[in-house]
Amino acid sequence: MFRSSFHKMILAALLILIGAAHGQCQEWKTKWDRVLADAKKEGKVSVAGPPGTAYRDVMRGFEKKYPEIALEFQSFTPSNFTARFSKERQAGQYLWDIYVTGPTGFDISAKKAGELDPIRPLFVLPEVLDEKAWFGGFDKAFLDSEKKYIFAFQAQITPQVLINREFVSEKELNSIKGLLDPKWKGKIAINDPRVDGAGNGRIALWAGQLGEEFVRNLLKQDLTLTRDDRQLADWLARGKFPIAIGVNDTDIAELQKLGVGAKVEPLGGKLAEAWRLSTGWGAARLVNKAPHVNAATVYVNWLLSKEGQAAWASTVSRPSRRVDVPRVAGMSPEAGVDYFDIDREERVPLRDKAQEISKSVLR
Amino acid sequence: MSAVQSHSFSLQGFVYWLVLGIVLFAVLYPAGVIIFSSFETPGEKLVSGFGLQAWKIAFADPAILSAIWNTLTITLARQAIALPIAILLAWVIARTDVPGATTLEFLFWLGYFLPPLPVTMGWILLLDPDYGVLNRWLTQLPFVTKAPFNIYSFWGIVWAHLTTSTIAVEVMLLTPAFRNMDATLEEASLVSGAGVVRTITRIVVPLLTPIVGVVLLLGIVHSLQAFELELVLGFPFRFYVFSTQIHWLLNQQPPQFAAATALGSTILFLMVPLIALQRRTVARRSFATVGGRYKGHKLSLGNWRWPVSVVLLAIALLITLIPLLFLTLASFMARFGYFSVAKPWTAVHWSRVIEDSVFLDSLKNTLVLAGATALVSVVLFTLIAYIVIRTNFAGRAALDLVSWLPSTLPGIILGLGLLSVFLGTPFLRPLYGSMFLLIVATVISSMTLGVQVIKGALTQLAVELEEAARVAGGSSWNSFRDIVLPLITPTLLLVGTLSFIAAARNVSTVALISTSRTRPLSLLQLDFLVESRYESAAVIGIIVVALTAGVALVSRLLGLRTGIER
Repeated sequence: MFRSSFHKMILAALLILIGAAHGQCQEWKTKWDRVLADAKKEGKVSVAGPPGTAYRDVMRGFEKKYPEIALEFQSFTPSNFTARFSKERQAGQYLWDIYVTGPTGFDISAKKAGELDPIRPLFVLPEVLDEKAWFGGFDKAFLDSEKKYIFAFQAQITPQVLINREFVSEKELNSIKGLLDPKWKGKIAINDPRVDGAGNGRIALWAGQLGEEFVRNLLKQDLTLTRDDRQLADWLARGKFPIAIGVNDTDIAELQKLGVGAKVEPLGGKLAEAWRLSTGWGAARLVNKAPHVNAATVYVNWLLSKEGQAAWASTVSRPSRRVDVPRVAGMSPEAGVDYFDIDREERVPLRDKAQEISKSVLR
Repeated sequence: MSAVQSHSFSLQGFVYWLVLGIVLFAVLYPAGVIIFSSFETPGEKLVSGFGLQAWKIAFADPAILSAIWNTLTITLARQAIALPIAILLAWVIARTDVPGATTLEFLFWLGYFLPPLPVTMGWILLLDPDYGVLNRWLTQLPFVTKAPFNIYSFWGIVWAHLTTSTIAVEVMLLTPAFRNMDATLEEASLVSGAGVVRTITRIVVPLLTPIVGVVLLLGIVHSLQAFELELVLGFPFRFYVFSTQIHWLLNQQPPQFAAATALGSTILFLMVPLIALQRRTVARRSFATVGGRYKGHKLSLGNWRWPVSVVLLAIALLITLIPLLFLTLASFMARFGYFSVAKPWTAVHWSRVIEDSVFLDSLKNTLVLAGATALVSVVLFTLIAYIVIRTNFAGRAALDLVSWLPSTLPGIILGLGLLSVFLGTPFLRPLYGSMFLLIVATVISSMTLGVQVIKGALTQLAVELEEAARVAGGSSWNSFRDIVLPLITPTLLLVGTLSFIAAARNVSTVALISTSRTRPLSLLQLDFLVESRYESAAVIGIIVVALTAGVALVSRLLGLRTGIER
């Protein structure tokens, strides 16, 4: 008797669980079907994205999967998009749905001005909302303090400094702090840290970790500036400047494939001040008064899905924050390591400080 | 410069007013918006008020003073070297019997078509003080102890400018004007015992004051706006110029548009007195060199024909063939400048560009954009120039002055102004995002150069030619069509070609107003540049050069069959 009741209870519990799961499944499925149907009626989605052919090519996957929704994708540099967006808004034109780019000052000003809507409610697919699918968890992918506006789907570890060992031995220099040695004066090149970008991010990280004094002293090492990624990589590989801060890893990788700069490597081993976590151009936000919200929902769910992120990682050659897509050698973050993420909104003051110091020292 | 017509309420008068209206609207409106927006105070939401804050930001940077000084010195150096050389080259090509003059002239055209960035990379490859190939060769000589050249220097920047475009474009602009000169004047000078140099400085240049003045002014404006080379070559030794300061303000986060606009407007204010001076100089007397008794035969160089030709060829090679070689090498190298790698040569960049999903659409858009710009430019600029030079129309001075404005505005600032105009004017708003807007933008961008060159050609034509036609019973239109037009056709074809290349290469203005449907090749090139794929960008550069060279060849073939000498 007791045994039979117990079995019944177990069965009932299982049925309830299955029912709940099915209900949940039904819930997202129903919502998804509705959104998809409405998106097809809207017929198109307008996406502003980063410049570069690879970013455009990634988006082709969406067009293939959802041929009924036309993707109007346009590349912009951050300043060009800000200019265009602001002029359109002044004229009462609301033309964009999603803006994919790296974290920029646009995020702060647009959020303050109410020009961004939360992107979080757009996430429908369970695979997108899956806590375990994202490096450090789902919430950690949001760069804004409210955790709802700017979703960073790219997470790349990038070295702060690259050094050409053909010209500087391990014995001579093996730590970030060693850069302050006067003998490196005039030997270091940097991506201009006075504007937003790779150089500024690195200086900001050190301002946070090693203090302002370190940063000031480093900037006084007669640094050579450039705003040209390619030039910086060439200088490093050829040894014109054997130490470089803010080099684009892809440029160096391309050179190394050709057998040039084979001895270029990160400086500082696994020290915390030697690496940063970078979003690159991979963060999405929903512009307010978006004209095609349903199509934008379908687009965002595709982009953040395993399929979309695998396409991103393979086409752009940058690692996804998703942990269930193929890793990008040397760039994907290691599980369990707490990297310094300079792209978060709470670190904006640090970035501003870094710019201020850089401007005052590097006249 | 007497006028041959007075305006009346006729069809002609209507056309004049219409042209004035179009130009004022298309140029003054965006320029006004730009100047106005430099007084806007940015707030959290769009604009919070008006004041001088942007101007203070623009000029508060301590680097601005040295940037202004650097801009002035580099402008002076460029023009001081380029203009005399260009005058001499143009004179030799147009006024003497030097062998291969036509080919030599075309080589200079070709030099101007080449994109500056890959060419600059080529010069870096040769003249870098540490790994420059030429420096390395020279340091192997017994008496050379250190690298003699440094591309990252003031003179390095001047050299790169001279060899990429400055001399080439000045030769291009001056040669047709020289061709329109009456040979009797030079002959008289030479017969009276003045040498070649004296003849050029005392007879030729004064006679060509209008066009030489225009070329100099345009050179100054372009020097003030020069940007790419200064960024690549000047940044490493912290050499900032006016335009890099504008770029700097635009790259702040958030971008300092108002401050950048303030700096951009400064060029406009700086140029106004120079433009006024040029206008005054030209207005003082007649510069007509083509009259009823025009004699166009060329001076004989005698035994100097071939040596002069060789010198000219050497300069043309330096300006054209060496850069073209850089460009071609760049497009076929795994990575430009790395000759010692295992597989230095590849066709992958060509296949990457040609197989790019947007390549064909971009090519089509470029052909439409550049072709339409060339056509509209030739018609509109001819009308403007004709009204300014040949009529008593009340608004002609305004028309002349306004036609100078576009060149004084940096491309991105002009783009911002046009954005405001098309978005802020209800009847234009439906055109936002269309090819029409892009054509308007590129026509405006080409306006100064085009109008001034045609004005220069018209100034050289004596009014008596048209008067004779009218005395013989022809209408104004007939005299224009039958007398003026054939004589200035080579100039119009030159203007069309220049407008074509300017539109095909335009990035800064077009980037702000194009859409995914109207994107031209220049923006595809920008995509490659952002990805540091300079080799693929060089492929697009070659395609644009090929397109333009095709247009230029047709222009020249047509031009050589028309004009004064025919």
